[in-house]
Amino acid sequence: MKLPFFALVKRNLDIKASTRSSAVLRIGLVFLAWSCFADRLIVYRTFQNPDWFFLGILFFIFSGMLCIGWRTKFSNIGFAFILNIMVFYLGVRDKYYPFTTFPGTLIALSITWLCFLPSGKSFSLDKYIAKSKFKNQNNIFHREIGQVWALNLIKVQVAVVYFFAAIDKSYLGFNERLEQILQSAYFGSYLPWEGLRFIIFLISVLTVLILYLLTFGLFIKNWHRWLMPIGIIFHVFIYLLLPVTTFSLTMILLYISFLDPKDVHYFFKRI
Amino acid sequence: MLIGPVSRQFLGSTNKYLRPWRMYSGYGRNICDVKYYLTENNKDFVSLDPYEFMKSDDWMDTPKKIKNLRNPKQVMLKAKKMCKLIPEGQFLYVNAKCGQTRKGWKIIIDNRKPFCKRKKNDFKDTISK
Repeated sequence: MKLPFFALVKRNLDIKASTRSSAVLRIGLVFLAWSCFADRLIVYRTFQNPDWFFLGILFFIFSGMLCIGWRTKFSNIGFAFILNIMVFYLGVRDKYYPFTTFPGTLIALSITWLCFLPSGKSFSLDKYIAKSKFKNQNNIFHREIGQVWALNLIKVQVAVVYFFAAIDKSYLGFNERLEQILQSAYFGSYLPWEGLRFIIFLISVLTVLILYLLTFGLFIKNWHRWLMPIGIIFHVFIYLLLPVTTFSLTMILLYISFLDPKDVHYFFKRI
Repeated sequence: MLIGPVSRQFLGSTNKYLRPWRMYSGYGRNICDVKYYLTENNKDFVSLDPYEFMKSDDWMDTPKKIKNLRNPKQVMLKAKKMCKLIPEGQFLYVNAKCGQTRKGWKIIIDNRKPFCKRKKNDFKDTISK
């Protein structure tokens, strides 16, 4: 008799499906990494510092290769390595704060989990080369199918971010913290209308509820139809109201890991 | 993925390499919330619109530097300035609280007793001196 736990593990570690969703994640994450880090690594800023210059060159080579999907696995591992050095060595150890931001850490970790996905099998130069090499042969590369169990890693990553963000905000004074943030950014020390406090209180309660809902609800496929739009609207609001930079778009992009790879495949086929 | 937030947020670890998912917890803490009240008899309080004393039409108009009091020191200075601007014979009550990291407001000045009173003969005293 099979133990239910092992059956569950096997079911989640043996998923052969379309690789198009992994490819979209690959391309999207590279763009987000450029948006988050590239400005600090352009030649203009790094030329007089050999270490940083070398790091910048590697950053752009690996990310460029990963974006077009050339030697995808190699470039993915190289890029993940570079990003983790930037976040944990230069950022955390050497206290270079532009690299320790949460959006940056999230991108670095997501690109690390991407190493376990066959993201080069779709929308990539690798696929194009393989296709022209094995023309007229029934090569497996043509089918854009691969082991996509690592989408689960990205799903867990998203859930962990939501869960611990919710935990962090689950205290009685959170509405007052939100007042501080909004007053600092918009209203100043003298709140123009006292009723705003009640509205901010409602927003704070709603924020925590949405975060808990997204933590668990995204795993329920039937809920995607209404929960994902709520999540997207939530992130758009956060993006517009607070300086969260790439965080919102990264989370929205990572929602793709929750979608059925088959649905993503046919969506791109149709468009 | 999990070790960082669990150890930092649940177990209280301070290892800086283990990253918590604690976003923007420090943002916006350097702001104070201030309210002014006027009274003549310590019974009937009138909420004061501070923008009337700033030569601004409203809060949208006022420069950020003026409307954002960042710390208790700035709050005290502003309140003392307000004391000189209020009508004669009135008491000024101040209710001020400032932001803190990962917590609600911290009360700096409460309105249990008047912050100051402008005497009726303030102006005459100044002339005679």
